[in-house]
Amino acid sequence: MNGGSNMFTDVSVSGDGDVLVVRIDGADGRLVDHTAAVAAACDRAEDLDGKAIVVVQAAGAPAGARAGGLTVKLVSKWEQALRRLERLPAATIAVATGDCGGAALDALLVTDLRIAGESARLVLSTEGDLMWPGMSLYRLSRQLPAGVVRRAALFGGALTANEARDLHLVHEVSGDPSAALAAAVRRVAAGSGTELAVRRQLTSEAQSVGYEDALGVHLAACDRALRRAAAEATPA
Amino acid sequence: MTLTLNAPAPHALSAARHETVVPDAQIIGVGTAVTDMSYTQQELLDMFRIADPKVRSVFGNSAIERRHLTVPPLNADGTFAEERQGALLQKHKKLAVEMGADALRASLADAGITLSAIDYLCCVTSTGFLTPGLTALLIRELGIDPSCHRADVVGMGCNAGLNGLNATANWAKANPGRVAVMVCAEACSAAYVMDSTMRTAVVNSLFGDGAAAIALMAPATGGEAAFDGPRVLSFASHIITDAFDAMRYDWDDEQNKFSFFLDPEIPYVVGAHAEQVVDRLLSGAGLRRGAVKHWLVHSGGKKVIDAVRVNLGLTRHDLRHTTGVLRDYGNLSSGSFLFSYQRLLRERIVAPGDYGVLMTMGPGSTIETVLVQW
Repeated sequence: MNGGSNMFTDVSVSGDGDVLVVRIDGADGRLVDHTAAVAAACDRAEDLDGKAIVVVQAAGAPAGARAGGLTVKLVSKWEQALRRLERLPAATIAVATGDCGGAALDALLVTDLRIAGESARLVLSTEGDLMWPGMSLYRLSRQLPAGVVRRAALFGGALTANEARDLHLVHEVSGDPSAALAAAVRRVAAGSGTELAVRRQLTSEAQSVGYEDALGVHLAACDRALRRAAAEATPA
Repeated sequence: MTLTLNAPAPHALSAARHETVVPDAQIIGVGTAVTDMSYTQQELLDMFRIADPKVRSVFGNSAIERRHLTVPPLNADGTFAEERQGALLQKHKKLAVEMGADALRASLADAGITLSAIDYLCCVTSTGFLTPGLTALLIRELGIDPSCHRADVVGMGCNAGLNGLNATANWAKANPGRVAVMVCAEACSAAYVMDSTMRTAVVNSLFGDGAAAIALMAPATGGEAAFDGPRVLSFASHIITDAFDAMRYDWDDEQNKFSFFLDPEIPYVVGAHAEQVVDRLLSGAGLRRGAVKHWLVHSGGKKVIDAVRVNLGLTRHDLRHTTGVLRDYGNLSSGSFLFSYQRLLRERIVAPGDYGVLMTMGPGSTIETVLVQW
């Protein structure tokens, strides 16, 4: 898998915006390579000014202990790349196949739309029975009911594709993930990634901010939407 | 077409290194100053006996907790005396000199240099008119060398700190090894009108008194930089001429005073133009927005901070100092962004190579930006 597991591929799809594909193999513990692949995709997506769609092909789970040479500095760089992906001015779609853990799970959890193959499993435990205490634990805590995440965090385990869908960690389980991905790309291609990023941030902040603090930002976003609509209605 | 990138481009493009022959000016010290007395919004409403629920609501929803102000003298009956324009100008002169001198001294102490090192002084103020200007007053007050070069930036409003910085940084760059200082001193309690209109209520709920100063120097020719402050790389400006009258400070014949006006729509107008200015600033340096680690935006008011944040895709954390300075001081006009800059430095999180964007907004309507790198 050397060199192949961390490929960032840039696929131009005429008329539908540009689809950028990042493959993250969770069995591969080299966070440096994963970080470079995600950063390259983010660079390209940001340069496409809202017209990109980023697809994360997430597969593989760590077989045992974490790779040697792992440091908190590398974990921090990886998290910076994930955070960039999480705030990207582009729709992001994950496709999980087979066992999906480690870095592959990290990447899946920052995406907007998630598709899982029927045999996919989200593998939560990576250190014996314990889950790695990185920011995926934080994201799971925001995305899952408290009881579920506590059990997962403390006792690890794996979720089947259907269980993950029932918990809304993935949004679709498909026997043909490629076809499901193509349909998802068609669905999101019409929207602007920059405007999606505005709405994504509003929904993210709504989980932790009170009404009074949220109001001003939502009004500013409404103003932005009205200005864009007016600009589109008036030919230059 | 399928294209595989084997060697991903670095996050910051190589064109952004700014390895020029002439070294850029560096910010080598910062200082701030306020007056002794500060008041909560509630205390001000009570002191001025403001009962109108609409006005109380404007104060309550300002995202400001406290402001430093010099309130008018009291009449015998305990009410505040009316300050006429002449008294307000005197008040501005006194406060601007006192706060400006304190901020200037603090910026030099931060840089580890003395008053005798100053070769260029730029003073920025909009809350009063002074002739001779604030530079002359501070040179006399502090005993700065009378041969010091100087410039006064007067009446440009809240954005003027970056207009002043542009001139100051360029002077420093053109004169390597010599110290240039910029002082922003605003006595907002000398620039108010009290009547029953919402126009004045909004203004009176917002501004506070304060001054800030920064010292700049470019490394002497052939020498190494002796300071670890950020280099001032480039500026981008924009004036929204469609919104020319939306923010103004002009004469009110009925009140016989200068009066400030803020159009309720102006925060959104500024927010809508923020992207194009910032993108111009960054594209000139070959940088993406994500490469900027530190954002220091003028604490103009809750609405404009929200609008800038949404339009630039910034998080609450990105603008923590902007909102923190607004909460603790109100809108300090031209020096406000330097209070945020000082708070950022006190966090001790900036690292060599980090990029920062400083952004101010004001009348015109104007957006000023500068790119710095540690």
